Amino acid sequence: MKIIRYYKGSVRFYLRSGCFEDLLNAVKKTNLRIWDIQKKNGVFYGTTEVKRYKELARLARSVGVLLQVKKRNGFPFLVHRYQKRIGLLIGAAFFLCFLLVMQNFIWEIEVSGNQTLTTEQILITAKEIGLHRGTGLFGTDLKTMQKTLEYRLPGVAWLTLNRTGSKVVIELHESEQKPDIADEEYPCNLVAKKDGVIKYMEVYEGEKMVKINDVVCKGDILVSGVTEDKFQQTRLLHADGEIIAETYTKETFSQPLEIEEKIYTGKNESRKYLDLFGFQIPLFFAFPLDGDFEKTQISEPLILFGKELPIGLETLELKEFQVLKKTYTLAEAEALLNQKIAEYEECTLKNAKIISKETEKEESNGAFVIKVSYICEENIAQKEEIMINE
Amino acid sequence: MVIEGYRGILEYDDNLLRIRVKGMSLSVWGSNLQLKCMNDENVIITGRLAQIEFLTESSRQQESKEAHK
Repeated sequence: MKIIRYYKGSVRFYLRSGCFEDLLNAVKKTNLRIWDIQKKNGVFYGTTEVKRYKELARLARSVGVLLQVKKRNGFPFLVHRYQKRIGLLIGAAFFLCFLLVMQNFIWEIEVSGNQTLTTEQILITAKEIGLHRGTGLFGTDLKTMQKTLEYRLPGVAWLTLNRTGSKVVIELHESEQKPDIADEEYPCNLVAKKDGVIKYMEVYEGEKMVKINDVVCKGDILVSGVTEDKFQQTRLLHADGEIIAETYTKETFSQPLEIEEKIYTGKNESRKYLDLFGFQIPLFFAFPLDGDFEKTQISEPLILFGKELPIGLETLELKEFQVLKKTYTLAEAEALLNQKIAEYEECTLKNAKIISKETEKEESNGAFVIKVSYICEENIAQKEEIMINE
Repeated sequence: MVIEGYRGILEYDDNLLRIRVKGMSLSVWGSNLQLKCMNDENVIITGRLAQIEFLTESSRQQESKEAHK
């Protein structure tokens, strides 16, 4: 009711002279409406519709009552007040049009539910398929985009695109990786994963097929999972054990004596863009740059009340570099190779005991080469499932 | 308070409101009495209502005679 009255406009009046009751009784005989009638500090007040105030004033005069306007209220007066301020009206109209147009674009993309996949990774993939800040909603098929995005992102169990106004939420659930369940039940043999001489054996299950000091080749059965009992009944077992053998390993490490190296010259350039609804407006005079530059883009969106706005500043950091040829001396190359060898021993041979190590150095085809021969003691047993045809 | 089918307002003040209804008059005493809304049929009274009195036409005439004497 109040909204309707505000929309229609109302006039608050007071009685200057005459008998108020006469006016009320005169009003009763017409279809005029008055409300909020009260007496305050000895003065009678009332309110009526703005369009019918003149009619009411005429009626009041006819019964000898004089009315005076106290206050005008409502939308018609507001319009009247700003009627002459065309700029304000045009501005309001533009703002309305702006809102109407802008609501047809996506201005915020939120990602939720990701655990191993990063938000950036998801947003980059979404951008590749055309879902980014500033994407128009007309002609955008979110269902198809949803399917494409789900297909493109690895390890996603389900994904959905929920749109609320200009905001799209990419909600996803990553698929759970099946854990490796150690099945100690299946029948298997222990085979050699490397050539070597058996030095020590500890068999937990299965039948030994080799003896200490036997020479075995890669793939030879060390412990069999197929056994026969005294009644010549065949039993299949899950062979298990540790077979330590002396193995021989030869590795070659090489380091080119001449390499191309990226060296930063120290010349840096920063270019700023105004990011306006996905459009990047350069804030610089674009002189062409000579040389090679490494580019880094930094986005600084405008944040208002904790919400990221589709307006912001983009900074493109350019770092000049040169690709120069670098020559290593033999000593430098050897130091680098020794580092590589140490890493190899730490990673690949971490479960092996190195008995002896022989190195052979040479320079060939512009590279420094170190050949390392290792004699190690290590567990060469590897489980191999016995395939049974049922 | 809503009064339907009133005939006219006899007296209006912020502590007394006299309304003519069919065959009688209605007096409402109170404070800050307001006519919230009125049209040709109904009237809505708001405020702090203290007392309501109904006076038939005959009792009114009697009252006025006594007043004349």
